[in-house]
Amino acid sequence: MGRDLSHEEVVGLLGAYALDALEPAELQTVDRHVQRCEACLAEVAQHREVAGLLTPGWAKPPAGLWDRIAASLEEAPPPLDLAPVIAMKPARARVADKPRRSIGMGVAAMVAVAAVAMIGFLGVRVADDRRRIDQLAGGAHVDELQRSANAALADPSARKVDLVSTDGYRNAQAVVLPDGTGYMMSSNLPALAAERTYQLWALVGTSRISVGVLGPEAKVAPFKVGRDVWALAITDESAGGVETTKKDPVVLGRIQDA
Amino acid sequence: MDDLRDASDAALVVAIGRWREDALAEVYRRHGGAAFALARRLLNDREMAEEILQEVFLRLWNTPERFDSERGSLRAYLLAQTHGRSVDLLRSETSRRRREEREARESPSFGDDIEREVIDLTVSEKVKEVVAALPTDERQAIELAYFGGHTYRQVAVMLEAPEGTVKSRIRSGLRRLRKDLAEAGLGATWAET
Repeated sequence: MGRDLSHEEVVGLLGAYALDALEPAELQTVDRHVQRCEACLAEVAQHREVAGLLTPGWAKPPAGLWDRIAASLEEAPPPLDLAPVIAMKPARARVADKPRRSIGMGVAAMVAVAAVAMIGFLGVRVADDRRRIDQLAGGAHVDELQRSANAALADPSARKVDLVSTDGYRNAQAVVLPDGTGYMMSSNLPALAAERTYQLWALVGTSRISVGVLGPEAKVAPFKVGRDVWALAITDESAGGVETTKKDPVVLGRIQDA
Repeated sequence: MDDLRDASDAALVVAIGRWREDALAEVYRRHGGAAFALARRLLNDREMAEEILQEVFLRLWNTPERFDSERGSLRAYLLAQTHGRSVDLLRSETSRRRREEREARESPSFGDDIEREVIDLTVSEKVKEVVAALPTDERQAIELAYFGGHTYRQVAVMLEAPEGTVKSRIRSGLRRLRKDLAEAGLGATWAET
């Protein structure tokens, strides 16, 4: 089925789609529609809930299988709460200018400096971050910024990030392009008091690197990260931001594959 | 999250995002059995079902963000993943050969008595009642597609019904099930369309 289907035609196929009962030729077309149609996405989710109830829930998983699954998880990095926190440094500063760190921090610090050096147009000082983002969010650049962010979101090569809180109630979305340019998109984070700010962190290995101070409201904002960033997190900090943090993230999410 | 047994599914997935292996183990304890039962039912092969289950849980471990708790339950998400992967395998040539070899050695269980099979697979008395109350043509279409892993066109051939009719029966049957299950107190929190 090469042609696009109308919404009504797709709706008629949603039951079969939810049960993986479409012909291969139809699957791609319907899948493309469903992924961008909120109503269809919701209906498919409901059909799958129903189908899930038809499957027996009392069965025991096979003995020994969990051990095999657990054994294949060995490559996971250590828990984040063991991670050293890496200070954010000015972009123009060179590694040689920095005070010596412990050996354990050295490599991570170089990664941090390299990542920070990529920030470029955002500026790298925390205060600069905030000023720049405030300017973008509050001035004539807002429309342009939103357009850029929307374009990034629609880019098929972009990697998406769904950041969620521990209780699942708070969330934020971000998108990262292959060149490391990223955009904070929407969120349901509550506005903070004027003396507080949200701050965005990139997780590189076990290090947290500040990539932007978002202000008391987490609005659309650009940022820049390196290739080795695997997750983003947002913390609640004092106004102006901090260089390092030990706070638990308000929301946290892995960068998904494109 | 000290006691994972009391944690919600959504909270477990967030913990998995933070590399909590014990959270994945708890998800496996809660939903691994259902996922395995579905894969084994579809594939009629314990070894392949275990491979699917391993793949589904590794996928959850590696990309927990793909689960959206606002879109539905974790159980439905895992079963949909299991079903999709099982059907892919079922329709592959390798799987088909293995299945045909197995079926040549064993008496096939699926298709002998579809109604009995489904009754055996339903979770509770309420679900059994709701499924049994479904119009026969809708129930058969859903059973053959979901538990048989057939496309709706294959189902149309099996039931000697027009393709358009079968795809309509699948959708209307699922919608009817949702409504009846909600009235029976199952899934009552689902958003209405």
